[in-house]
Amino acid sequence: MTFLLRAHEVTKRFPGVLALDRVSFELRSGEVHALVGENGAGKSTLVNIFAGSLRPDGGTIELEGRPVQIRSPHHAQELGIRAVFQQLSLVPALTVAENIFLGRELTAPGLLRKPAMRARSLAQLGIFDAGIAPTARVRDLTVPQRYLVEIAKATLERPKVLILDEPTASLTDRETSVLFRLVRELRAQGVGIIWITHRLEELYEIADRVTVMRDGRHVATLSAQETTTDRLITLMTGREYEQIYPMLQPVPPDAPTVLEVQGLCSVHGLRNISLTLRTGEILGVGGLIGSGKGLLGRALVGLEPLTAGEIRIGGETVRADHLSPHAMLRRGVMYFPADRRGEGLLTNRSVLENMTIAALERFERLAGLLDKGKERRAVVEYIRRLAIVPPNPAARVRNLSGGNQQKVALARGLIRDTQVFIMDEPTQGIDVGAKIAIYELLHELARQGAAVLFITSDMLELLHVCHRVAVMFQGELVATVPHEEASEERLLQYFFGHMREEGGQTSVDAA
Amino acid sequence: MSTPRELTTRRFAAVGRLPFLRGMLDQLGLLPVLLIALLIFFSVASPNFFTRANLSTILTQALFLIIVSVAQTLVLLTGGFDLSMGSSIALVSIVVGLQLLDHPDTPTTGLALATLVAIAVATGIGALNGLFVSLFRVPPFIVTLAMMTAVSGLALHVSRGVPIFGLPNYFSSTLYTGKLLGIPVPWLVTILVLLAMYVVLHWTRFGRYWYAIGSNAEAARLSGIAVRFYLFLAYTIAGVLVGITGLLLTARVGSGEPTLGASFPLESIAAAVLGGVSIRGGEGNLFGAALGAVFLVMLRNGMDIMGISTYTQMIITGGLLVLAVIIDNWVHRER
Repeated sequence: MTFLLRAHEVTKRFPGVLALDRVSFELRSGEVHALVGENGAGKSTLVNIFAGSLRPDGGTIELEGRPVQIRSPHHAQELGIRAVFQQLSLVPALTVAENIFLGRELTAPGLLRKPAMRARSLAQLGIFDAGIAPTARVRDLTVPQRYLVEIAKATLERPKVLILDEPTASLTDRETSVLFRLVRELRAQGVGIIWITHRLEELYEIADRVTVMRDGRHVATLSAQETTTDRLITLMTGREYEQIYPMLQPVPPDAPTVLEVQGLCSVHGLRNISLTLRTGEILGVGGLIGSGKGLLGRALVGLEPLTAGEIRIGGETVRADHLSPHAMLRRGVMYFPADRRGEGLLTNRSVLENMTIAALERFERLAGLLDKGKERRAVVEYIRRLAIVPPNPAARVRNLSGGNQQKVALARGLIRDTQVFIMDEPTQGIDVGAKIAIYELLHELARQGAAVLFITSDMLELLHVCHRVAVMFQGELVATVPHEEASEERLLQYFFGHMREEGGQTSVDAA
Repeated sequence: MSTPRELTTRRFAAVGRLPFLRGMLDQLGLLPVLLIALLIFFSVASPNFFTRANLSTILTQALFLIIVSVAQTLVLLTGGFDLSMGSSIALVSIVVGLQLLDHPDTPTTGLALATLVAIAVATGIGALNGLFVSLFRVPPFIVTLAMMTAVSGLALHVSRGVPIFGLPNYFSSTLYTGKLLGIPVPWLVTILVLLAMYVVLHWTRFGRYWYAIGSNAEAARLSGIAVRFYLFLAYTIAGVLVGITGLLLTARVGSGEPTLGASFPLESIAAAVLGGVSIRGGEGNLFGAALGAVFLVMLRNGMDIMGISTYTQMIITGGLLVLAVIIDNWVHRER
């Protein structure tokens, strides 16, 4: 049979990395084909080749049985291949309709047919029922709304192939179900859909087949109905479940509280948050995108303007007007932002400079001169302990892999003797080997008496790496669940606000 | 925790070959090569170029641009730049000239006061730049462009637009032709400035923080660095260096000049960027900038000797700055 889109033994090399190693992939028309794998498995590279952003170094691509060379994103669109990536391609200053028709405006000899474009945009958006006006400016829309506009743009002229890169990552429950409906409709019309996702649970609902990739190779293609989450994880990581998550050591019962937060409210939507963190404890913070879990981390180091609340470190209150990264560092609290390259690291500086930048006073001798020998020895020691590759203090951080970059960021906290690690999505975008290293390191830190606030979108991390799990919903902390009682079902109930905990009691929300 | 895998260790050990050449190319870029090419070109083109006297002239002329380029480098490293350095030098020249007229016969007092006001005026201007950039978050381009205009106006106003002649002889004979420990004073000062700034940039936390701020200000803030304070400090210390240059340059021309140093802002940026300092901050070092200054002065000198007109030279210098920034973009682009 002929396939709609077929990649045969496609190879793609980047400097120093074999991103795709003779990968074959087949998409039928009228199917939703999920593509799963760890970060760095090659999913993005493969779909970028389909979308014309990358050229393969070897192998062939066939569209409807004919070999094609996809030369550019524009060419891919002409061929009927549309892709929606997480990095949206919308122009914030233009209206929704202008964005949808960008580059293919309807014209009557030379002039724009604005009413016609608005009308068609309205019809196109109507499917979503999300209250998006064609005349609204994209910059005024919420993130999920923008995503829907992007999808409307991609499906304006029915494509042959639609590539969706983690489509549900930024959507709420309601928008997700709207998207599912649209995708089923497109499938019924014969569109082939490639669905990249990290959320394995949604596969059973939407996908027909699943292809698993690992380390740039095709591992397996399975029927979505016949597979299980456990099997997929084993295929994706090449390891059994238990090998990934280290054994959780219990927190000693007499461990003192190191961080205490009471009634924290912020300008951008944190509402009355109270929590405690004990030495030796890893407290997971979960919740949907927009639940405020990221804001919480920022608020604790003064990056988010507060309107009320109190923060105590080791029993000592930190005055709200003194709250800053600097003040919290002095008290042994370090914040690790989710956007490592944008906010966390000095990407064009060396590993050495990145590791010691927050602790230079430790390496000062008389007259403020740096003891570079001592500094280098400390850095070499941490490079060895964290197994950072390349093991070279002078390597520029931007040339390191995501996992090694995260290790460098962590080392910055270690060199300072940090007591409380506030980590926002520390394992995002890093491979499974580095993830395991980070889990082990966090556990070791906890055993040595440090405390970790572990903000993550990864359900499995919440379930397996944390002593307790705090769940955020719409800016509130709705529940704190001990490790023993945490289950996926229960956490999801809190995630979506179906349930909340009042004074230790769990109640089902009337709404 | 696993140990680093031997395979990767071996792979990266190979990078250690030719460390000197690699290090130099990484730090200084293509500049040393260009400098030698230029040297050979002018030597072939004119018999008057490669002479002891002319080479010494080039270096002496380059001293002033070297110090300003080092000052510019400090600011560039933090991700900013300073266009007001030229008019700051002009105002220093005028104030120093007026000061010296009051002390025609007392060299010690005269020199001490001249040095003091020179540094005070330029440091004050630098501090003001730093204040606007750090505290009020006005883009450096706007702040220093406005400062350039205002200070230039002030220099012309104070001097009524005419140079201040009749400075006492001891001024130039001490600060320009004078020698200390057998070294001409301008040379000595330049060497001291380079050494001092090298130590500050590479052996103290100040330098590290400046690099960090220019590389990623948000990461610097999260690392507990008082970003605004160190930004302020960079502009202020650059001001000190500009004051020193203004003083030495006034001694060289022998009069208080209300338009002295007008070409310095652009030339110092060009020199620094040619020397591998990134216009986007966080990258480069002062020896590259100093070498860039020598390159520009040598280029000008060579073109003079070959009889190329000043106007043509301006076109070439402008083109060179654009070229340097294009190369900077190319070298420092994110992969």
